[in-house]
Amino acid sequence: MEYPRETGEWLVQLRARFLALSLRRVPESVAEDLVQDALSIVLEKGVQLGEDVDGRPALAWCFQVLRNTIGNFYQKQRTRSGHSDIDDALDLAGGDTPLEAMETSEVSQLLHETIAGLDTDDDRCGRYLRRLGEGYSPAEMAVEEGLDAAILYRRIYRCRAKLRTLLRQKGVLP
Amino acid sequence: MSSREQGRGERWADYLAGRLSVAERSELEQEILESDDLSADLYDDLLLAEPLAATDQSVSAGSRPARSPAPRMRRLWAVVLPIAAVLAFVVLWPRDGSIPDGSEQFRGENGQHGMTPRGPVDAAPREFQWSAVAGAEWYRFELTGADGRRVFETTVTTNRVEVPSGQEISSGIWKVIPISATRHELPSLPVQAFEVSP
Repeated sequence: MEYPRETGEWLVQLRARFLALSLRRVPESVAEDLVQDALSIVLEKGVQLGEDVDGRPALAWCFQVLRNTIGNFYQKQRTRSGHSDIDDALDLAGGDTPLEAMETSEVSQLLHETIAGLDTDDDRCGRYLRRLGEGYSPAEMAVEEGLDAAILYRRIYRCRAKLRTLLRQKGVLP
Repeated sequence: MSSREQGRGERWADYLAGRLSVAERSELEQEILESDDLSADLYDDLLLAEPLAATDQSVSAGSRPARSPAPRMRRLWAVVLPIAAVLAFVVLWPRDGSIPDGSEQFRGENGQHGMTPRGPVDAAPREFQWSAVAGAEWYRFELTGADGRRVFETTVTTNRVEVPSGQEISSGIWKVIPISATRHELPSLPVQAFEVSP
Protein backbone atom coordinates (compact mmCIF):
# COMPACT_ATOMS: atom_id res chain seq x y z
CA MET A 1 0.00 0.00 0.00
CA GLU A 2 1.27 3.44 -0.84
CA TYR A 3 0.49 6.49 1.25
CA PRO A 4 -0.26 9.90 -0.16
CA ARG A 5 2.95 11.88 -0.04
CA GLU A 6 1.57 14.56 2.26
CA THR A 7 0.21 12.03 4.72
CA GLY A 8 3.51 10.21 4.86
CA GLU A 9 5.47 13.37 5.47
CA TRP A 10 3.51 14.50 8.47
CA LEU A 11 3.55 11.02 9.95
CA VAL A 12 7.33 10.96 9.65
CA GLN A 13 7.43 14.28 11.51
CA LEU A 14 4.98 13.01 14.09
CA ARG A 15 7.09 9.94 14.65
CA ALA A 16 10.16 12.10 15.25
CA ARG A 17 8.29 14.28 17.77
CA PHE A 18 6.81 11.27 19.52
CA LEU A 19 10.24 9.71 19.82
CA ALA A 20 11.81 12.89 21.19
CA LEU A 21 9.05 13.22 23.79
CA SER A 22 9.18 9.54 24.72
CA LEU A 23 12.92 9.41 25.15
CA ARG A 24 12.63 12.01 27.88
CA ARG A 25 9.91 10.08 29.67
CA VAL A 26 10.59 6.37 29.37
CA PRO A 27 13.68 4.18 29.13
CA GLU A 28 15.30 4.24 25.72
CA SER A 29 14.83 0.48 25.43
CA VAL A 30 11.04 0.83 25.27
CA ALA A 31 10.64 4.24 23.65
CA GLU A 32 10.61 2.94 20.07
CA ASP A 33 7.98 0.31 20.86
CA LEU A 34 5.72 2.80 22.64
CA VAL A 35 5.98 5.19 19.73
CA GLN A 36 5.06 2.42 17.32
CA ASP A 37 2.07 1.52 19.47
CA ALA A 38 0.88 5.12 19.53
CA LEU A 39 1.42 5.56 15.81
CA SER A 40 -0.51 2.40 15.01
CA ILE A 41 -3.52 3.89 16.79
CA VAL A 42 -3.11 7.18 14.94
CA LEU A 43 -2.87 5.43 11.60
CA GLU A 44 -5.78 3.17 12.27
CA LYS A 45 -7.86 6.19 13.11
CA GLY A 46 -7.04 7.72 9.73
CA VAL A 47 -6.19 11.08 11.28
CA GLN A 48 -5.65 14.03 8.95
CA LEU A 49 -4.11 17.32 10.04
CA GLY A 50 -6.53 20.19 10.33
CA GLU A 51 -9.47 17.92 11.07
CA ASP A 52 -11.37 17.35 14.26
CA VAL A 53 -11.01 13.94 15.92
CA ASP A 54 -13.48 13.05 18.64
CA GLY A 55 -13.98 16.67 19.53
CA ARG A 56 -10.28 17.53 19.56
CA PRO A 57 -7.92 19.05 17.03
CA ALA A 58 -6.23 16.22 15.16
CA LEU A 59 -2.71 16.77 16.43
CA ALA A 60 -3.88 17.24 20.01
CA TRP A 61 -5.69 13.91 19.70
CA CYS A 62 -2.47 12.27 18.46
CA PHE A 63 -0.46 13.66 21.37
CA GLN A 64 -3.13 12.49 23.80
CA VAL A 65 -2.72 8.99 22.38
CA LEU A 66 1.01 9.15 23.08
CA ARG A 67 0.36 10.46 26.58
CA ASN A 68 -2.03 7.56 27.24
CA THR A 69 0.41 5.05 25.76
CA ILE A 70 3.18 6.26 28.06
CA GLY A 71 0.75 6.24 30.98
CA ASN A 72 -0.15 2.64 30.13
CA PHE A 73 3.53 1.71 30.18
CA TYR A 74 3.97 2.95 33.73
CA GLN A 75 0.67 1.46 34.78
CA LYS A 76 1.82 -1.89 33.45
CA GLN A 77 5.08 -1.57 35.34
CA ARG A 78 3.13 -1.01 38.53
CA THR A 79 0.73 -3.86 37.85
CA ARG A 80 3.35 -6.44 36.95
CA SER A 81 5.81 -6.46 39.79
CA GLY A 82 5.11 -3.73 42.22
CA HIS A 83 7.39 -0.77 42.59
CA SER A 84 10.79 -2.35 42.00
CA ASP A 85 10.30 -2.48 38.23
CA ILE A 86 8.99 1.03 38.02
CA ASP A 87 11.91 2.27 40.08
CA ASP A 88 14.25 0.53 37.66
CA ALA A 89 12.43 2.11 34.74
CA LEU A 90 12.66 5.53 36.30
CA ASP A 91 16.38 5.07 36.88
CA LEU A 92 16.77 4.29 33.22
CA ALA A 93 14.67 7.30 32.33
CA GLY A 94 17.10 9.56 34.13
CA GLY A 95 16.12 9.45 37.78
CA ASP A 96 13.25 11.93 37.75
CA THR A 97 9.67 10.81 38.21
CA PRO A 98 7.60 11.96 35.26
CA LEU A 99 3.97 12.82 35.85
CA GLU A 100 2.92 9.87 33.72
CA ALA A 101 4.48 7.50 36.27
CA MET A 102 2.36 8.82 39.11
CA GLU A 103 -1.06 7.78 40.25
CA THR A 104 -3.79 10.26 39.29
CA SER A 105 -4.31 11.18 42.93
CA GLU A 106 -0.61 11.92 43.32
CA VAL A 107 -0.63 14.13 40.23
CA SER A 108 -3.71 16.00 41.41
CA GLN A 109 -2.13 16.57 44.80
CA LEU A 110 1.09 17.75 43.22
CA LEU A 111 -0.74 20.16 40.95
CA HIS A 112 -2.80 21.41 43.83
CA GLU A 113 0.36 22.19 45.77
CA THR A 114 2.09 23.70 42.77
CA ILE A 115 -0.83 25.94 41.92
CA ALA A 116 -0.99 26.96 45.55
CA GLY A 117 2.66 27.94 45.14
CA LEU A 118 1.68 30.06 42.18
CA ASP A 119 -0.95 31.74 44.31
CA THR A 120 1.66 33.14 46.64
CA ASP A 121 3.25 34.84 43.68
CA ASP A 122 0.14 35.81 41.78
CA ASP A 123 -3.24 34.59 42.96
CA ARG A 124 -4.72 35.18 39.52
CA CYS A 125 -2.72 32.32 38.08
CA GLY A 126 -4.28 29.78 40.39
CA ARG A 127 -7.73 31.08 39.60
CA TYR A 128 -7.17 31.05 35.86
CA LEU A 129 -5.70 27.56 35.81
CA ARG A 130 -8.50 26.19 37.91
CA ARG A 131 -11.03 27.78 35.58
CA LEU A 132 -9.30 26.24 32.58
CA GLY A 133 -9.46 22.92 34.37
CA GLU A 134 -13.18 23.36 34.71
CA GLY A 135 -13.46 23.72 30.95
CA TYR A 136 -14.00 27.46 30.72
CA SER A 137 -12.71 29.09 27.57
CA PRO A 138 -10.41 32.09 27.92
CA ALA A 139 -13.07 34.19 26.22
CA GLU A 140 -15.63 33.23 28.87
CA MET A 141 -13.10 33.88 31.58
CA ALA A 142 -12.38 37.30 30.11
CA VAL A 143 -16.05 38.21 30.46
CA GLU A 144 -16.10 36.85 33.99
CA GLU A 145 -12.97 38.79 34.92
CA GLY A 146 -14.08 41.91 33.11
CA LEU A 147 -10.93 41.93 31.05
CA ASP A 148 -10.10 42.40 27.44
CA ALA A 149 -9.60 38.94 25.95
CA ALA A 150 -6.12 39.79 24.70
CA ILE A 151 -5.01 40.68 28.23
CA LEU A 152 -6.35 37.43 29.58
CA TYR A 153 -4.66 35.41 26.85
CA ARG A 154 -1.36 37.00 27.80
CA ARG A 155 -1.87 36.23 31.47
CA ILE A 156 -2.86 32.63 30.86
CA TYR A 157 0.12 32.13 28.61
CA ARG A 158 2.35 33.46 31.37
CA CYS A 159 0.65 31.34 34.05
CA ARG A 160 1.05 28.17 32.04
CA ALA A 161 4.72 28.93 31.57
CA LYS A 162 5.10 29.49 35.34
CA LEU A 163 3.35 26.22 36.11
CA ARG A 164 5.60 24.33 33.72
CA THR A 165 8.68 25.96 35.22
CA LEU A 166 7.67 24.96 38.74
CA LEU A 167 6.89 21.41 37.65
CA ARG A 168 10.27 21.17 35.93
CA GLN A 169 11.93 22.37 39.10
CA LYS A 170 10.15 19.57 40.93
CA GLY A 171 11.55 17.10 38.39
CA VAL A 172 8.21 15.88 37.06
CA LEU A 173 8.40 17.52 33.66
CA PRO A 174 11.49 16.87 31.58
CA MET B 1 5.52 39.78 26.87
CA SER B 2 6.07 40.41 23.19
CA SER B 3 3.25 40.77 20.70
CA ARG B 4 4.54 37.58 19.12
CA GLU B 5 4.06 35.72 22.38
CA GLN B 6 0.65 37.27 22.81
CA GLY B 7 -0.34 36.13 19.34
CA ARG B 8 0.96 32.70 20.05
CA GLY B 9 -0.95 32.60 23.32
CA GLU B 10 -4.18 33.55 21.62
CA ARG B 11 -3.69 31.11 18.81
CA TRP B 12 -2.75 28.35 21.23
CA ALA B 13 -5.86 28.86 23.32
CA ASP B 14 -8.04 28.98 20.22
CA TYR B 15 -6.43 25.82 18.91
CA LEU B 16 -7.04 23.86 22.10
CA ALA B 17 -10.59 25.17 22.23
CA GLY B 18 -11.19 24.14 18.61
CA ARG B 19 -11.90 27.66 17.45
CA LEU B 20 -9.38 27.91 14.63
CA SER B 21 -10.42 27.49 11.03
CA VAL B 22 -9.23 24.37 9.24
CA ALA B 23 -6.54 26.38 7.44
CA GLU B 24 -5.34 28.06 10.65
CA ARG B 25 -5.38 24.78 12.50
CA SER B 26 -3.42 23.01 9.79
CA GLU B 27 -0.86 25.78 9.76
CA LEU B 28 -0.37 25.65 13.54
CA GLU B 29 -0.24 21.85 13.58
CA GLN B 30 2.47 21.94 10.96
CA GLU B 31 4.40 24.42 13.12
CA ILE B 32 4.03 22.16 16.13
CA LEU B 33 5.30 19.20 14.15
CA GLU B 34 8.37 21.16 13.15
CA SER B 35 9.21 22.41 16.65
CA ASP B 36 10.47 20.47 19.64
CA ASP B 37 9.39 23.27 21.97
CA LEU B 38 5.84 23.54 20.65
CA SER B 39 5.48 19.77 20.63
CA ALA B 40 6.59 19.63 24.25
CA ASP B 41 4.19 22.47 25.15
CA LEU B 42 1.25 20.69 23.53
CA TYR B 43 2.11 17.40 25.21
CA ASP B 44 2.52 19.08 28.60
CA ASP B 45 -0.76 20.96 28.29
CA LEU B 46 -2.58 17.72 27.52
CA LEU B 47 -0.74 15.96 30.30
CA LEU B 48 -1.81 18.58 32.80
CA ALA B 49 -5.37 19.08 31.59
CA GLU B 50 -6.93 16.01 33.14
CA PRO B 51 -5.34 16.14 36.59
CA LEU B 52 -5.91 19.89 36.58
CA ALA B 53 -9.61 19.26 36.18
CA ALA B 54 -9.49 16.65 38.93
CA THR B 55 -7.60 19.06 41.16
CA ASP B 56 -10.13 21.70 40.46
CA GLN B 57 -13.06 19.49 41.31
CA SER B 58 -11.52 18.60 44.64
CA VAL B 59 -10.29 21.99 45.74
CA SER B 60 -12.01 24.67 43.70
CA ALA B 61 -14.00 27.35 45.41
CA GLY B 62 -15.46 28.41 42.09
CA SER B 63 -19.03 29.59 41.99
CA ARG B 64 -20.03 27.70 38.88
CA PRO B 65 -20.21 23.94 38.58
CA ALA B 66 -17.44 22.16 36.73
CA ARG B 67 -18.23 21.43 33.15
CA SER B 68 -18.44 18.09 31.55
CA PRO B 69 -15.20 16.98 29.96
CA ALA B 70 -14.79 17.36 26.24
CA PRO B 71 -16.84 14.84 24.31
CA ARG B 72 -15.21 11.46 24.41
CA MET B 73 -15.26 8.99 21.59
CA ARG B 74 -18.62 7.28 21.70
CA ARG B 75 -17.97 4.74 19.06
CA LEU B 76 -14.96 3.23 17.52
CA TRP B 77 -14.40 4.21 13.97
CA ALA B 78 -15.73 1.74 11.45
CA VAL B 79 -12.26 0.42 10.66
CA VAL B 80 -11.17 3.53 8.88
CA LEU B 81 -8.21 2.05 7.12
CA PRO B 82 -7.71 -1.56 6.15
CA ILE B 83 -5.81 -3.54 8.70
CA ALA B 84 -3.25 -3.94 5.96
CA ALA B 85 -2.39 -0.29 6.31
CA VAL B 86 -1.71 -0.72 10.01
CA LEU B 87 0.59 -3.62 9.37
CA ALA B 88 2.43 -1.78 6.67
CA PHE B 89 3.02 1.08 9.05
CA VAL B 90 3.76 -0.76 12.26
CA VAL B 91 5.52 -3.86 11.09
CA LEU B 92 7.14 -2.81 7.86
CA TRP B 93 8.13 0.74 8.71
CA PRO B 94 11.88 0.67 9.23
CA ARG B 95 13.31 2.11 12.43
CA ASP B 96 14.86 4.94 10.46
CA GLY B 97 11.39 6.33 9.85
CA SER B 98 11.27 5.84 6.10
CA ILE B 99 7.87 5.36 4.53
CA PRO B 100 6.99 1.78 3.66
CA ASP B 101 6.49 1.18 -0.03
CA GLY B 102 4.01 -1.62 0.48
CA SER B 103 5.98 -4.07 -1.59
CA GLU B 104 6.24 -6.65 1.15
CA GLN B 105 3.52 -9.16 1.87
CA PHE B 106 1.80 -9.84 5.16
CA ARG B 107 2.45 -12.99 7.06
CA GLY B 108 -0.14 -15.61 7.84
CA GLU B 109 -3.23 -16.83 6.10
CA ASN B 110 -4.96 -13.79 4.69
CA GLY B 111 -3.01 -11.73 7.19
CA GLN B 112 -5.53 -12.05 10.02
CA HIS B 113 -4.28 -15.10 11.93
CA GLY B 114 -7.80 -16.28 12.66
CA MET B 115 -8.34 -13.27 14.87
CA THR B 116 -11.89 -12.58 15.99
CA PRO B 117 -13.67 -10.31 16.65
CA ARG B 118 -12.70 -7.74 14.08
CA GLY B 119 -14.62 -5.09 12.16
CA PRO B 120 -18.33 -4.59 12.79
CA VAL B 121 -19.83 -7.16 15.15
CA ASP B 122 -23.41 -7.82 16.22
CA ALA B 123 -22.86 -7.89 19.97
CA ALA B 124 -20.22 -7.11 22.57
CA PRO B 125 -17.72 -9.98 22.31
CA ARG B 126 -17.47 -12.46 25.14
CA GLU B 127 -14.11 -13.78 24.01
CA PHE B 128 -11.19 -13.06 21.70
CA GLN B 129 -9.55 -15.76 19.62
CA TRP B 130 -6.59 -16.17 17.32
CA SER B 131 -4.67 -18.95 15.65
CA ALA B 132 -1.97 -20.67 17.65
CA VAL B 133 1.52 -19.41 16.88
CA ALA B 134 4.40 -21.82 16.48
CA GLY B 135 6.87 -21.49 19.32
CA ALA B 136 4.52 -19.54 21.57
CA GLU B 137 4.17 -20.72 25.13
CA TRP B 138 2.15 -17.76 26.33
CA TYR B 139 0.20 -14.94 24.75
CA ARG B 140 -0.05 -11.43 26.12
CA PHE B 141 -3.43 -9.97 25.23
CA GLU B 142 -4.01 -6.22 25.27
CA LEU B 143 -7.32 -4.47 24.66
CA THR B 144 -7.13 -0.72 24.18
CA GLY B 145 -9.76 1.95 23.79
CA ALA B 146 -9.67 4.11 20.70
CA ASP B 147 -8.15 6.95 22.71
CA GLY B 148 -5.18 4.79 23.64
CA ARG B 149 -6.32 4.02 27.16
CA ARG B 150 -5.77 0.41 28.19
CA VAL B 151 -9.03 -1.36 28.98
CA PHE B 152 -7.91 -4.87 29.78
CA GLU B 153 -4.79 -7.01 29.55
CA THR B 154 -3.81 -10.47 30.56
CA THR B 155 -1.38 -13.26 29.79
CA VAL B 156 -2.73 -16.70 28.89
CA THR B 157 -1.45 -20.07 27.72
CA THR B 158 -4.28 -20.71 25.27
CA ASN B 159 -5.11 -18.86 22.09
CA ARG B 160 -8.27 -17.32 23.47
CA VAL B 161 -9.24 -14.84 26.16
CA GLU B 162 -12.59 -14.51 27.83
CA VAL B 163 -13.89 -11.07 28.65
CA PRO B 164 -14.10 -10.70 32.44
CA SER B 165 -17.62 -11.11 33.71
CA GLY B 166 -19.42 -7.87 34.19
CA GLN B 167 -17.51 -6.13 31.44
CA GLU B 168 -19.23 -5.28 28.21
CA ILE B 169 -16.90 -3.84 25.64
CA SER B 170 -18.60 -2.45 22.60
CA SER B 171 -15.57 -1.17 20.71
CA GLY B 172 -11.82 -1.28 20.90
CA ILE B 173 -8.60 -2.41 19.33
CA TRP B 174 -6.67 -5.42 20.50
CA LYS B 175 -3.42 -7.16 19.91
CA VAL B 176 -1.71 -10.35 20.89
CA ILE B 177 1.97 -10.77 21.61
CA PRO B 178 3.14 -14.39 21.55
CA ILE B 179 5.83 -15.19 24.11
CA SER B 180 8.26 -18.08 23.76
CA ALA B 181 9.17 -20.64 26.42
CA THR B 182 12.34 -18.65 27.00
CA ARG B 183 10.14 -15.63 27.75
CA HIS B 184 11.08 -13.75 24.64
CA GLU B 185 8.44 -11.81 22.77
CA LEU B 186 7.72 -13.13 19.30
CA PRO B 187 6.37 -10.81 16.56
CA SER B 188 2.97 -9.41 17.49
CA LEU B 189 -0.11 -10.47 15.60
CA PRO B 190 -1.81 -7.70 13.63
CA VAL B 191 -3.69 -5.11 15.61
CA GLN B 192 -7.43 -5.68 15.21
CA ALA B 193 -10.36 -3.32 15.68
CA PHE B 194 -13.96 -4.15 16.36
CA GLU B 195 -17.16 -2.28 17.00
CA VAL B 196 -20.68 -3.34 17.77
CA SER B 197 -22.85 -2.22 14.88
CA PRO B 198 -25.48 0.29 15.93
